[in-house]
Formats: sequence, C-alpha cells, structure tokens
Amino acid sequence: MTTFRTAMITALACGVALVAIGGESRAQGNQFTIGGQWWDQSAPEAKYQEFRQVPFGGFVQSFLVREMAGRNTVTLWGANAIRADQATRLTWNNGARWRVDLGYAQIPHTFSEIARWGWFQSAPGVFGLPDSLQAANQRTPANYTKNMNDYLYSSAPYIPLTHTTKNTTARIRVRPARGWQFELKATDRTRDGSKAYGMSFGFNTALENPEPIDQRTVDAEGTADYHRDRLTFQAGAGLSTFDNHVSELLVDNPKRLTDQVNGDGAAVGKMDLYPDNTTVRGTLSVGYTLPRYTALTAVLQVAQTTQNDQFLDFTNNSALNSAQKLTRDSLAAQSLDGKARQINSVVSVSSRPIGRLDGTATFRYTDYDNRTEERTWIGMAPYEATWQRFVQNGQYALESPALDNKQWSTDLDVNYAFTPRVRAGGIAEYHVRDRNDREVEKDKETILGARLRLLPIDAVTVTARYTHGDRKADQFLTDDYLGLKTRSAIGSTPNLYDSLGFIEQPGLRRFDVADRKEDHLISDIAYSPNDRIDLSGSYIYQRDDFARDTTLGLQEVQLHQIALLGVIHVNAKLDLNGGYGWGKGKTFQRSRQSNAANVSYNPVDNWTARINEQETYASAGFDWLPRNRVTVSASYTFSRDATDYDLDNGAHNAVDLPSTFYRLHESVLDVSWQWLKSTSVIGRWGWEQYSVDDFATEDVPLIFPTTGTSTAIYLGDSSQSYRANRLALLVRHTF
Amino acid sequence: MRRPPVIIWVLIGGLLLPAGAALLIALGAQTSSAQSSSAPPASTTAPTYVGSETCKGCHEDQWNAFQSNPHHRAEMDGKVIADRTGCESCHGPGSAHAEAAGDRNNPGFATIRNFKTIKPAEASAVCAGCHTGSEQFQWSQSPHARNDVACVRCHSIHHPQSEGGGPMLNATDVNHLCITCHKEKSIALARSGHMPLREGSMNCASCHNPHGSNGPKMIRAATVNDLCYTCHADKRGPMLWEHAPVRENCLNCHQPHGSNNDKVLTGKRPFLCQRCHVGTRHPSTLYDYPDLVSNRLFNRSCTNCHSQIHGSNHPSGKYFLR
Repeated sequence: MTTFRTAMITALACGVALVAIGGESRAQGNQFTIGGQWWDQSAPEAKYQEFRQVPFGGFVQSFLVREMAGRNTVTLWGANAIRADQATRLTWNNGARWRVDLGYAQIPHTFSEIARWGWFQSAPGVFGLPDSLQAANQRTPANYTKNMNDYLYSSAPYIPLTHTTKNTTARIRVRPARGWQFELKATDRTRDGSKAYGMSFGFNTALENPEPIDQRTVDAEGTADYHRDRLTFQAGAGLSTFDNHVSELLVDNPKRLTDQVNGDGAAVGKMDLYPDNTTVRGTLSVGYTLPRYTALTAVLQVAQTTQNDQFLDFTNNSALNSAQKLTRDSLAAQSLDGKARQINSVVSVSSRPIGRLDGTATFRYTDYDNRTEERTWIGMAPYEATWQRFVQNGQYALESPALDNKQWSTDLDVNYAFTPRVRAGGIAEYHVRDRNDREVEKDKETILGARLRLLPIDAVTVTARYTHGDRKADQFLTDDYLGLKTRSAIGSTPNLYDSLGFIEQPGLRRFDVADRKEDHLISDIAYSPNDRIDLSGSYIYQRDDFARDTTLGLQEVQLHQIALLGVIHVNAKLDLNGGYGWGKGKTFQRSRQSNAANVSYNPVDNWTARINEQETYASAGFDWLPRNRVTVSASYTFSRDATDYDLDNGAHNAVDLPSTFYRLHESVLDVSWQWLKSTSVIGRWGWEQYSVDDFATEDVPLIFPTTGTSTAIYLGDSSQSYRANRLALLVRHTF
Repeated sequence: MRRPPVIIWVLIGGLLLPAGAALLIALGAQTSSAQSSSAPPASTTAPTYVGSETCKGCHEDQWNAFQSNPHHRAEMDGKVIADRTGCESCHGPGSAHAEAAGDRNNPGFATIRNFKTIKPAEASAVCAGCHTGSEQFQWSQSPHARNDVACVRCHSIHHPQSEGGGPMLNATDVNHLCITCHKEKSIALARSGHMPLREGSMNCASCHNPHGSNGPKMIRAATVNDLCYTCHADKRGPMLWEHAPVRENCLNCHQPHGSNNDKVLTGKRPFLCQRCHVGTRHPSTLYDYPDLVSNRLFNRSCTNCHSQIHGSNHPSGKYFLR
C-alpha cells in the first residue's frame, strides 16, 4: 500500500516534470474539495456505512489535477482520500500514441458493528474456547445453554465484521503504428477482514464464526489489436491466480473437550475454506466489415482452470478416525488435481442489406469441460460426529462427480422500418444446455418475440419488446434425481435409499432445469419535446410458469414493474429531476413435508408458500441558482419493500411468517456560495432513516433459542433501524 | 443418453452465419456502399477539407473544449491514428459549410455531417472508423447498435459532463446515464441488498460493456460465472463437491442488480433452497410462525450449517457442511 502510494506520487512527479520539460504547461479544470463533517447515528447499524466510510472530522472529498503540455497530458483524480473507500487514478497520455493508467481503490464491506464472539483466535482461523468451559459442558450437557449464555454475555467482546477489498490496477496502451494497438493490464485485488460463516457440530449445533479473510487475486492480461481497412484482428492472453491465505478453520466445539463418536462429535472441528486456483486463457477475435453496414465477427476463447489444494482428513475427530480406522490413505486422493477446460466461441453477423432492413445473427457456444478425475470415496463424516458409509452391492458408492456443462444458442434479430415512424422486428432464439450428473441432462428453449418502435409525433417515442420462451427437458433421469449414483444405499441392499434421509421426494422439478414457459414484456414511452424536457416511463412484466409438469418446487414467478423518470431544465437557473418506481413480485412454491426417513406419497403432506413482494421507489432533486454566486442542490430518495409470506398446508393450520419490511429515506441538501472567483464554500446537510423488520435477522441473540435447549450460537449481528444526520462544511477551489 | 452432436451444430452455425451474411451482402450489392451512405450530403461542388482552425471562427466554444478532449490527442499524432483528425474527421469536409457563413438557406450549410440529424447507424459508423477494436470490437452486434442507440446518445464529444478523464458521458456518471433508458434498474439499485453502485465503488460498466461483448447481456465475460469470478475468484473451483446450479449460473440464486434478501439472493432462505430441495426430514419441513425458534429458519437459515454452499473441497463436504 505504502509502496504503491510512493510509486504513484513518484510517477506523478515524473509526469509533471516531463510535461514541464515538454513545453509550456496548461492547467485544465483542476480542483479540490476539502472540508469537515460531523454526523450522528441513532443505532450502530452497519447499513449506514456498508460500502463506504462516512467521514467524521476533516476529509478530502475529491481532487482533480490535469496538466497538459505539448503531447503530454497527466491527470490525477481522487476521491475520499485516506479513507476506507478511497479511489485514486493517475493517467498519463502521450498524444494518442501511448497511455499509462495507474489506479488504486478500496471497497469496504461492513456487515455488522455489533457482532460479539466468545472464542479467541490463537492464529488466523484457529478459534479456541476455555478448556474449563468445554469440560463443564461435556460433563453436564444439561447445563450447556446456561453455561454458554453466561459465558457469552459476560465475556464475548465486540468484534469488527467487515472486510476491505483493495484493487490496484495498472494499464499500458501503446499505438506504435497505424492500425496497431497493444495493451497490457494487471489488477492486484486483496481482500482482508472477516465475515460471518456458519459451521455445525452434530446435527443440532450451528455455530457462527467470523471467518478470517486474507485473499489475493492477481489478474494479468495482454492484448494486441490490428485494424486495417475492413479487417480487425485481436489476440489476447491472460492469467488469473487466486490465493487464500487462510485455507482452513479450526474451531473448538463448545460441547466437547474430548473427541467422541456420534453425539456431539469432535472437540475441534475443521472446515476447508476456498482453495487456491489458477486460470489461464487465450482469445482470438476476427472482425471483417463489408458494404451495407455488414460486419462479421468471430471469437474463440480457450481457458483452463486448475486447483490442487491438499485435502483435509475426513474428520478432525480422533475417536472417529480410530473407530473407523481412517488414515490419510483412506482418502481417494491427497488432493483434487482439478482441471476444467473452457471453450467459448461467438460467431456473429450483422447487416443492413437494404436501407429499411437490418438484422443480426449470433451463434454462441460455451463448453465447461471439467476434466477432474471422478473418484470413489469410502464414506464421509459431514459434521465430524458420525461416519456415513456408502456401499451398494458390496461396493463403495460415493462418487465425486466432475460437473460440466455445455451451452449453445443461436439468435436472430431482424428489424424493418415500415416508415420513418414505424419500425418493427422479430426475435428468434434457440438455446440448448447440456450437462452431466443431473436429473435433466439436456434442455432446449425456443424464444420467439417481437419488437416495435413508434414515433407517433416528433416528441414521443414508444417502444415495446415481447418474448415468449418455452423450455423443455429432453428427459428426466430418476436415478440422478434420487441421487442413486452418489448417495446410494448404506449397507449392501441394492437400491435401498440412504437411511439418513435427504431423499428427494417424487414430483419435484428444480426450477433451473424444469420445463418453463416464460413471458417477458418491456415497454417504454419517452416524451422529449425539446432540449429542456425529458419524461419517460416503462412497464415490465415477466411471468415464469413451471407448473406444467411440476408437482413440487417452484410453480410460478410473476413480476410487474413501473418506472418513471423525468428531467426538466426549467430555465438557466433551475433544473428538476424526479423518478418513481413500483414493483410487485409473486412467487408460488410447493413442497411436501416428510419428517420420517421415507418419502411421502400423500398430497395431504403438501405445503405451499406464496411470497408476495411489493416495492416502491421515489426520487426527486433540483439544482437551483437563486441568486448570483449561490447554488442550491438537493436530492431525496425513498425505497420501500414489504414482503408477505402466505403459508398453507393440507391441514390448513400453517401459520404465516411475519412480514418483512425495509424502508430507506435518504436526502442531501447542498448550498454553495462562490466566495472568491475560484473558491466556493459549500454547506451540506444529509439525513437518512432506515427501518427494518425482518424476523430472521432482527434481535439475533448470542445463543439461540434463548430458552430451552439451544441449537445455535450466533454473532448477534442483528439488523437495526436507525436515523442519521450529517453536517459538512466544504471548500472547493479550482485552479 | 447419447451425447449431442455439438460439433455438428458448431460447424453448421459457423457455416450458415457467413453464408447468410454473404446473402445479405449480395442483396445489398446493387446499391451504394455503407461508407457512401454515412458520408455527408452531396453538394453541387464537392466540399474540401479546410482544417479545424477554420471551424474555430464560428465555433470557438467547441474548438476550445476540443483542446482538452481526448480526441485532440489524435490530432497531435496525425496520420498514425487516422487519415484525418480534428473537426472534419467526424463532420466531414467543411469548405462548403464554411463558405455558407451561417446561412442555413445556403445549400453548402448542410454539407457537413450533423450528428443530431443523421441516422444512428450512420453516426455510429463514423465513430467506428477509428473505434473498431478493443472495447468496441462487438459494437455492430451489440443490442445497443441493434436498437439504434448511437454512440452520441451516451457520449458527448464537445461538452462531456463526466469529470476526471472519464469516457465523455452525457451524464454525470455511468449509472445515471444507464438508468435514463433502463429505468427499472433504479428500483433494483435502491434495494436493501445491493452491490456498491450507489456508493460509487462500482458502476454498470464494471460488469457490462455497453459497446457489446462476447457474453450475454453485454457482460464483460463469456459467461455469467466468469464475470462473477473476476471479483469472487474464491468460488471458481473446480471443487471436489460442486453444487450443480452454482456451477452453471450464479444467477440461479443471486440477483446482482439488487435484492431485498440477504446476499442479493433471489429469494429468502429457506424458501429459496426449498425450491429445489424437498428431501425427507428437514429440507422439506414447513417452517412457519412457531418455527421461528428453528435454526433452520432464523438468521442465515440453511446456510447456518450448509455454509459451503458454493462448493466444498473437503472430503466430507458433500452436504456443504465442511
């Protein structure tokens, strides 16, 4: 970070020096805005600063320095300097021949400011509890809830639940000769901090931990472009590496000090975090233009991703390892040696063969070919308490599938202008998806649609686009649906379903592969009688109907949305803008309850959920020059969402869940006074009010439920309503 | 099941498309070329190039603005970039227009190319004369080009509103520009669960290339997942135990434009999970009001335990618990 800043300042100094050497320099619209701010917030809800740092005290809002001399232009732009959400960009152009860009940006993501956690971290990802507490809970399980409640509420400190992504980018673009362009770019993306991550011990203890995040992704890419007359050629190669510096979590089990087979299981649980991976790719693209706006393009991209992190043991539970005689050699392999090759290609042609007719045809093909070896495993310990053996017909039957998929589509889009005021077109698309190890291995979708654009009068444009899609599965593979290939039977009885449960019940069609009819309409009307008025509105309708062959699962999704937008330039002193949005979404899904191991064939066990969501959005703002040297601008945004959960079952005794509700008011008022010719003073008042009502995330306790036998330990990161005000005084200086 | 003859379709597609193109071209071959249709209107005396200094005489504001314009840099490099640079590289030869001296009734006045009146495709063709590779490689096939959204609809060459050496936009920033047409996205971006677009750390162009791309919906990657892996490379895998819908498309569960559910999910957990999992025991359990005490409904719901939902590399991670 410090190194980068030093490099950037050095580069800037060099740039400015070169510009000065190059001739008389000219400043272009340079400015900086600095000031001080005070704010308060009624409750420490993370939403207020979720992706930003609201400054308190002195701060730099933005700066722009641009110097030009001869062929050189150096631009340094920045915002939110020395803050968690800072962004800085340095650009140096030498005519159009070459250009260098350096950038640095931070994106904070704050999840909670009130999280509490009772474990201690002895090393990154190693979380411990006092042995005495584990021993007490193991000795007297009946006191577990009380012990943990007392311990957590007296000893758990507040912890930050936030991470920051730091992006450093560099790009060099060179045009050495007519038609040639070379570009090299690289991004270094680090992410550090923590976020809530779940873990379980046994079947009824969920733990929420602050997963330590220390990750780095480096992307580098080089491209060469050649353009001559009708031909454009592009070749590129890229590399992307991901490193996770905390590759596993070791967490003390609050219920056990020593390992145990079954019951509460391991004294220390171990989770595998995301593995390192690397992708290399190469791309070739060719474009050729012909008369009548005809253009052909073809792109071929080949990529390979590899991943070979060392596997962890089946379990960290020594008692289980001993009982089942599990060693490292019991694993089917020591690491995945994962390899996935991907081919993407696009061939496209567009043309306007006659003045009124235009069309585009596109063919896309993507093949994600997972070449990882499929291995057979002797079993597993999913929550480090119980060993699950997978045997069918005397053979181990737990196979780790290498999932791959292919997708290809052909799209045709043709438009015809009947008159200068009427243009209509047709859309035809055909999509095929092909995959392995799923109940639907192939599906096809045909999409047909129409498009219309009308200009009934000069100031009005009306557009509409409607498509109807029909997706059908080739066949439904029951064995894959039931997971017989990988889940199979415990014991040696053929085709006896897994007695541990998780057997899918008949009648389900998963929505991503189910037969589906989809209607989608988007229409828009725009009124713009002159340069001063822009009014427009749109209506969107979408309906996904899965119900044709689906007894269980998602049945229907419906969405209506209306959006209005207006910008009015009243006169030289007043601009107005406003927007309004309304949306209504409905989903309907059906399931079948079966608390026993066996599937239920009784529709009386069915239950349904109708989830109705209604949202409203509004915005308004103005920029006003009430008198010479004074500018007033204001903006207000309102968003609201209310969702109802209407539940029903065969006995009609299901009780609806409480509705969830989110609402945000946000407004900012700026009054600017031009004090001196190049200096303005700005007063700012900002106000926010956030209201939340969500049964799942409000009043999250540290131990749950708070009465009776607890089944979970959480971080207490509840969502909260808040009100916030901020006042700022800024100075903007241009030079 | 017999594997589909994909290669056959690749070949057919690869052959049919160029063949179709050839047919379209043949249909249009009898008429004049695209280049001529985008040329300035004909005049009785063919206009000639007079240089940008001549334009300055009447259009001083535009001329001054052009001096800090990225296109001015091309002027410095002369023929390395294009045959012509400066005002006439876009507006065409200006001698007749200059001779008209502001007289709109003079036939010469309208001999330059006026981007407010020419057809969108013609306007964009002028830009494509230089901006043909790199970001603009797929422009002609892009949904924007197909829907007659010309370059100048979004970019202001003379008076850009964007600061800091941005892409010369007709709006203060990318997001405000995009929602002038994609108004419904303003609703999505205002939702409680959102990506940092409102805060300015991202913008629409972070994920979409408005000039066209190799992927669907003009995304900056060949597939949705490849795009998401740009920032979320931890999910890239391949993993030992994969969650099939995750591997196929992140959008099966996430709504990146904004959602009122945690983690920009398309539905609230556990209902989202229960759309696909109706297995015996807890996956299919009806979690209604009395069940608020269940850790399968409260807080992070199913992912309280199944936290490795994007895939697990643990030998015991088949159920995404480890």
